[in-house]
Amino acid sequence: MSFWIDIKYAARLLLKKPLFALTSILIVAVGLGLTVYTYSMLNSLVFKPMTLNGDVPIYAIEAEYDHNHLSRRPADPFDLNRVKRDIDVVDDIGFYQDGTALFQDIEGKSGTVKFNASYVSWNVFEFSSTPPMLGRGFRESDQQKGAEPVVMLSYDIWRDYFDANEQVVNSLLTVEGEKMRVVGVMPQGYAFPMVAQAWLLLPPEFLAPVERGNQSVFGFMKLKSGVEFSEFERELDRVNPLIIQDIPEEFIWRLSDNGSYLRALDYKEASITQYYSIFIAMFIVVFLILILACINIGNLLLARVNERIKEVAIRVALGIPRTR
Amino acid sequence: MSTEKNEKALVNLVDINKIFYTDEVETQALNGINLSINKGEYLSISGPSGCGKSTLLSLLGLLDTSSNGQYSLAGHDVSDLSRDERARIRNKEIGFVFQSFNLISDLSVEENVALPLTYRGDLTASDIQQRVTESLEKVEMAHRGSHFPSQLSGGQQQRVAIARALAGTPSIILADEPTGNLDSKNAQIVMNLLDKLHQEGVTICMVTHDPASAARASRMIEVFDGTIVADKATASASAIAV
Ligand SMILES: Nc1ncnc2c1ncn2[C@@H]1O[C@H](COP(=O)(O)OP(=O)(O)O)[C@@H](O)[C@H]1O
Ligand SMILES: [Mg+2]
Repeated sequence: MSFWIDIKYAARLLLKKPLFALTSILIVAVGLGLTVYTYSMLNSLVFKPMTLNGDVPIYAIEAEYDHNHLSRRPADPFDLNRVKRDIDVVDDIGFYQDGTALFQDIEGKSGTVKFNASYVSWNVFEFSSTPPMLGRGFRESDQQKGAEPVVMLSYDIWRDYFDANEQVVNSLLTVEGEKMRVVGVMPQGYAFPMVAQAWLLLPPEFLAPVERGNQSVFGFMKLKSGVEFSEFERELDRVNPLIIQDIPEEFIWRLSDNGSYLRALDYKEASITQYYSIFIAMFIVVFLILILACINIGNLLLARVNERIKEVAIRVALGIPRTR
Repeated sequence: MSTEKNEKALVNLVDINKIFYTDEVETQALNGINLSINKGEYLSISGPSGCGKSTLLSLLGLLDTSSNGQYSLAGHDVSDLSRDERARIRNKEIGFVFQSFNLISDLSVEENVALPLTYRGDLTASDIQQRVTESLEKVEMAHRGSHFPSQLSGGQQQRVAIARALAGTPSIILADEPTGNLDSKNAQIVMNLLDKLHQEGVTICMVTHDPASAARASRMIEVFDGTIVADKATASASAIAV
């Protein structure tokens, strides 16, 4: 009974001023909705570690962030290979470079089209545990010296430039002036290690250089199963100084201003480092909107409370317990 | 006017003072009040405006605490209780009737009467329903149970308020100018109702500045400047005693 009296009372109050109730609910709903939406977006974009299809987290390993130019910096694959060799808990490391590729005479039309391309190590699709939609993924043998050059197409250019023709798989294209075999088409939306229209293989010397050089790549990395990231970080702290020690004068530019070199972090975090402050600013703005909404509701309610103060006094006189 | 402690009284106030502090101004609203009320008494408190009648009533009703002095209600010292304990006792032992009826406009007559009972937690829904019906019958408002206060006349609203005060079978009913907002006809009805309740044994303490109403009580108290200046039995007291 007591419960029902309270419910009926609340319902009558709402019905008495439906416009007021509606406005309040709407303001709160919009404010709350915006916050929840932004939060969940940021959550999947920023806060949750990237695992792609498998459950194994993927980390980025590269040179220290360049705070002066607000940009990420690649590292020498020679050094990344050393990390893989010297740190036991590393399961595998892959490399990539951001670039473009010129495609010639597509589908019989003469002319050249330039695409965004990722130059990668052959294991990239295994890392993301995403098989191609058509054809096959890269193989280790594809990246060996003397192997036939291969290219992987994205869904978008396959649809837009090749009329979604499945015959394109296994055909030969002229890319960067070289005949390349199309091995497959990736599914729509696939964007690892980054958004690209085509994937090409890095030259073999990038995979296992025998000495330091000017070649630069970003690394992606998996740890052995059951290994905590902090464990790897400790190892990296041990190996980093040894690598730095070995760097000769001519490659001292690899180091950042404060003399540090390699860093590892969650892959997604690395890929949004540049935009991180924007996300945070966005979240703050949305949060402020929510606060604004609450203040507005507060004001609206305050006006109603003044009407209700007398009722509260009556209930107090009747001995309402503080819990109600 | 007796100052010695009366152990058997329902209400016993000893040396009660109440001082209000507002913006560094001190108002001594009550000054050395000694008062005992016995079970079944019908007491009226009168006096000029601002003399402290309402303050006295809110101390009696545990809505406020005195600055110093002792208050025992039904044999228990209630001078230093916590807010929650005071609320509990207020709910069980005290029924309020106000000048402006103070019904909650968004609750029906029945719900208004049930409201203080729902605060108790030891009554079942059917207990509550039964008490509500009984007390509405006492004030002859049972037929209006599902109406809302705005659909009732002032006199009817005050009768509902009295029913609400009665529903919890309190030790004492405290009424602050219960007829102050009513026309003379409705005031008559409410005063007759209080008389009837008194005859049924209900203890009533009523503030009024209307001498005719005051005279209908069994005992009249006059307050002036926070002090009790007169305390006498009335003609109606002897009439009932007979
Ligand atoms: N809450 C309060 N704060 C300050 N002064 C108060 C308060 N309540 C009453 N007073 C003062 O106490 C005195 C007695 O008031 P009250 O008991 O309401 O008189 P009345 O006999 O008219 O009911 C008045 O001078 C009043 O101004
Ligand atoms: Mg008053």
